[in-house]
Amino acid sequence: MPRHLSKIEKLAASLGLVPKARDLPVPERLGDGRLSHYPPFEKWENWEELDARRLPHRYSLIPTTCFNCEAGCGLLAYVDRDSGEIEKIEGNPLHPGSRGRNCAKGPATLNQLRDPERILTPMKRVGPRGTGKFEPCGWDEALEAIANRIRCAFDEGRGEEVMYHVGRPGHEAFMERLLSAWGIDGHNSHTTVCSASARCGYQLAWGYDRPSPDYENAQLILLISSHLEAGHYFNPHAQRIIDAKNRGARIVVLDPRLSNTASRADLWLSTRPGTEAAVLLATIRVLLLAGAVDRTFVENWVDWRGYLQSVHCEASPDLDTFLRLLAEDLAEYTPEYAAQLAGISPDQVRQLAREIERAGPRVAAHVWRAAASGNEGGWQVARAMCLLTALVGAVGAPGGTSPSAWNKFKPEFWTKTEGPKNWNELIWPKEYPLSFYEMSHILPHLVLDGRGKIDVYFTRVINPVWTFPDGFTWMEMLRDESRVGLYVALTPTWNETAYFADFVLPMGHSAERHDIQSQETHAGRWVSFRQPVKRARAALAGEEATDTRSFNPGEVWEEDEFWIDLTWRIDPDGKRGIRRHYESPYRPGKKVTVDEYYRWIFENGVPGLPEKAKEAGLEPLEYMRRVGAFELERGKYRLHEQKVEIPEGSRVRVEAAGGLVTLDGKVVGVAVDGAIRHGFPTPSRKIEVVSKTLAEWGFPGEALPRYSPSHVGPEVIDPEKGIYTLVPTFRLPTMIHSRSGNAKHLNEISHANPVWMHPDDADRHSLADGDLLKVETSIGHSINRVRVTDGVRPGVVACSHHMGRWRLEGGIGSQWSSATVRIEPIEGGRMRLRIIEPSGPFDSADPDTRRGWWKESGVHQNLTFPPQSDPISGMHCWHQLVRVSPAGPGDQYGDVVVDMEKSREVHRAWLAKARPPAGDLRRPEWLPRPLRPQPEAYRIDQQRAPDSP
Amino acid sequence: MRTYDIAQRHAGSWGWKVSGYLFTKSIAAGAFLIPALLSLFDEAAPVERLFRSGVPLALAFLALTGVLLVADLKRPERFLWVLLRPQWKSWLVRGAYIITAYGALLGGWFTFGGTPGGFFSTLGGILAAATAAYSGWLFGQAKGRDLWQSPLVPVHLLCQALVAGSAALLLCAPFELADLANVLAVALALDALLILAEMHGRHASEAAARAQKLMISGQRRWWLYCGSLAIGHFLAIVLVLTGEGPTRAVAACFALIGVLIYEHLWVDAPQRLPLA
Repeated sequence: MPRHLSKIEKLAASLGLVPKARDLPVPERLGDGRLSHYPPFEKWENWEELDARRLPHRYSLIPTTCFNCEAGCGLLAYVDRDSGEIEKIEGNPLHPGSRGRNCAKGPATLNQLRDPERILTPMKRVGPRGTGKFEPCGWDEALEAIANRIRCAFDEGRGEEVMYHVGRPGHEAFMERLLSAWGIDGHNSHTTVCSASARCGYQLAWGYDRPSPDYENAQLILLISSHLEAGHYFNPHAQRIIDAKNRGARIVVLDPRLSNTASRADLWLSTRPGTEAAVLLATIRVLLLAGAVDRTFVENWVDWRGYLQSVHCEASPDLDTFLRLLAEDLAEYTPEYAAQLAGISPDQVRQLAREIERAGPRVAAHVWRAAASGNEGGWQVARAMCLLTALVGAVGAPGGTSPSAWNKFKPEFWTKTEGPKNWNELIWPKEYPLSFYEMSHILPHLVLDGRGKIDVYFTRVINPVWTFPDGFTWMEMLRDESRVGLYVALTPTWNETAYFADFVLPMGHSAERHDIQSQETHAGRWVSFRQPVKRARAALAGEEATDTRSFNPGEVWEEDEFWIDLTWRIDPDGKRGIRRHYESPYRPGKKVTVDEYYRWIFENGVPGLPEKAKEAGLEPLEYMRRVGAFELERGKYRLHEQKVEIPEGSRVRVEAAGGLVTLDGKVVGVAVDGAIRHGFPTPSRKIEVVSKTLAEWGFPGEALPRYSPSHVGPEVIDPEKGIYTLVPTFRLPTMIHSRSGNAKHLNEISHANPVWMHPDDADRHSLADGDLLKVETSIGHSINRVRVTDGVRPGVVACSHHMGRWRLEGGIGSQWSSATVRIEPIEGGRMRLRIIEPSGPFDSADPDTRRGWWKESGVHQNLTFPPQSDPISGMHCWHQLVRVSPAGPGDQYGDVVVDMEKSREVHRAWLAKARPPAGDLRRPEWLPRPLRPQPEAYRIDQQRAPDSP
Repeated sequence: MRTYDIAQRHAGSWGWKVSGYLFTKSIAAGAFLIPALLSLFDEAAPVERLFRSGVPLALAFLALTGVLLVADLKRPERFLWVLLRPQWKSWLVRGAYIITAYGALLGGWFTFGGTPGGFFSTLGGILAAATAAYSGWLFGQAKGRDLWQSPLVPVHLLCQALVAGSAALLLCAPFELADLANVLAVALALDALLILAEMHGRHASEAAARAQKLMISGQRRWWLYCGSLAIGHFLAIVLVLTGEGPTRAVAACFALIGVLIYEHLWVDAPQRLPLA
């Protein structure tokens, strides 16, 4: 209904005292029906509304997909039909994941688009590398230089010297397919500074590397993380967690810090970092002793026979014996033992068990970073969590926890690529055969050790100098042109790593580029379309649109068109066999356009989309341009029970002991309950309690779920002596790593990262809120302010991620988020980063840049962290053992001092814990890799002689 | 969206202009309310003389109240929208209409004169009381500030108006009515009791208790106990009851200062607490 106007207002308007109200179309309920103020869909193309001054504006509403965090939420861009500019960005109510509701980062895309300091033209380095001096250059110049160098590397059989390093992919398989087409094992990622540990734990247990909790139907939400507040899919998850809570679900959170998530919990266990696995194992034991397990699920889907064979080979092979012996094997994990380790009460452990028992199979559980990413052996936390959900039958159940792959869409393409023939040991070093995945955080150490060189290095949506640990070593590697030949940074905005690039190539934000994306946000599978909204509007109006640059500001481009163009330049005549993968499926021999690329996928690779589009009288591509997202299916559970279709006339073999079913020597399923079913993609096709892979690959002591003391656990801290565990990983809901630095509103909300300290600890060191303190790690120290708060447990200090951005003196960079710093060597062979000028107001075309009221923009703590690689998962174990003390007289806010030689020593010490394979395989073949090479590449000493890919 | 890491720089969204508005409004309301009340008991002639001082005083301070209110708006140029595009559920709008009606009545009285104890005297008294008290409900609509949720707030504001009104009249018309000093003393005693009850009584929530603690501890404690209570109330009572002439004027000044200090502390303290 239109807003009711009082007589007073009508009279005032008629006298001209207030602006006149106008009758506008009635807002409609869209999406899931709970949002009432979105314009009706049929009017999106031509929508009229009033601004704050009651002046009318005509808009075209074009959907796209957010590209700030990885959640892939839907956005709706309001493009002014008169000016052609994007005037505002809201949520897309038709997006199945975000349902029209967005966090602060979504609408802040508008800030990013209008950032007065964004990069608008391709830039070429001037002067020595790393001094931050650039000049504009043309796209052709950059593309030719890059293509020539890559072509030369390929022709000389040095394909593995071309490396693509990505943070947030933001797409589905585009780059994996491209690198596969190029035939190089050149995909590097960020997972070992992100989620390697959790991936490892989940993978070893159920064969999938991540969970997809069905929060909205859960009775109990068990979180070892702060997903609700700032986790991986913060927004889509948070809204479902709160929906469930409003319906009566309970929330249990394990976190040493009172996060926003913990503040909403019914039970908050403020556990000591590194002890979470012990708490989970004690909970499992309580449940086992109480008989509170789902016997049918365990009987069918937990590999208890494998457990008995491996651990108790003489025991009777029946379920009761397994349950009894598992409880006995966990005998040391009493609630008292776990509670004493974790610094909580035994009753809290029992209460956790009661909560789980009460919820039955409706336990939606999630650990992603947090305890898993912080601690050595943190992957055991994820494995214990997975086992816990399995024992109560929550795996794959409504309201339970499904594997991610069940709820994620993967596209298909019109040509098949073969994959790399070789194995890149700079990315997959032999010491870490079980890593998840690419060992990106030790790349500079491997390069400096002379294990290889990089001829062409691309970075995209990643800023390792700042985001990764040990940034000074990254700088050392990038400065050295003999180790990194040509560095190309693809980025919409300046960052600390891009200072070291030879070419900085501007790429678009979420409303300026194409991608498709799918994430496991709930019990459903969807695909979302990211598109340059101005180009989409032109296409919908029937205008010719073939190059996204014509619609973006300056010469900003998008990666899809860039890579297609680059591929054609590398293989101009098609003789290398690369180009054919980027020829149009509709116009043979011609370069594929981005429209054709997505048109083919939408027409052929998204089941149900063509039919849905037809219902709407649209072609699939046009449907996605207008709606922005499509849900393939919803509410699919227990997919492991699906029957395998065996071709008629085929003969399968069923293994008597475990029920594995093979066809032509290949495992195709598992016999359960009288049928051949898909099961789980583990070696046993069931959820594994004992990991033969770990036993066979050098870690027999870790084959069973257990608590392994962390490098920062309660055993090694001593607050009386100033020794604490530093939790440096927690996130703010308003920021992403360094991609949000140019969003003014986000910066105003959050711009500092003080060190949280409990009042008891602060008193011990005579520190008051706001005082400067020194945080010493094993390789250096940083100077920050203390935030004295009850929100962190005693013995633990915590410092949020995101802050402490910097730009070099006289160098280029974003002034919103960064201070000007000087980096210089000081005594003792150490390097020091010191703030010369804090962030503050500056002149630009945007008057808001004069209104910044904050001076301190945080401390770059990651520089002081050495690489600490978990010997199994490969995860960089983020938590640090630190010494905390009041700052000294010569210390300044923001100071960072690092001894790089010590960093090398720490790296070597952790490397020594790793175990290279004893056999002739580089990696168990059942473990996934994002870019899977051809089978022969897995064999050690089978590296192919240099040849053309 | 709370991020924890940023200091509460924007916490005090209501500052001196709001506490100033409460103070000027107390005088504006009390300057008419006092003679209107006294007209029920006293002889017409002295009360009429009191109205002659009270009405212009009330008008002047009501105008000042309006200036402070408009100045505190984020978009002062839109102040008329509060009246002309009313959101009736808001006490901001209701209060604006109460103030407007009260101002109109004062203007009419000032221009045409009025009769103590008559219809307009009674109506004016009611509007003056509403002008004093409505802010209690306005503050109560700030649901995140627990200290402002007390149902006693409108009563307390009314009492402060009696203190401020009688003190201001005592300064402007000291010889008009002997009862004025007694009225001020009684109002001050009542106000002191309400302050003590507010500061030392039990509060419904932890946040209210923490705000209360903020007012009675630290630097604010001295302002509250020495400034507002000891000087602004108890000393003022002693002086106004025992002294005459200039001493009573001093007592009236103390009383006004006491009201101002308390109102400022009461506006400020709850805003010092984080909202999440």
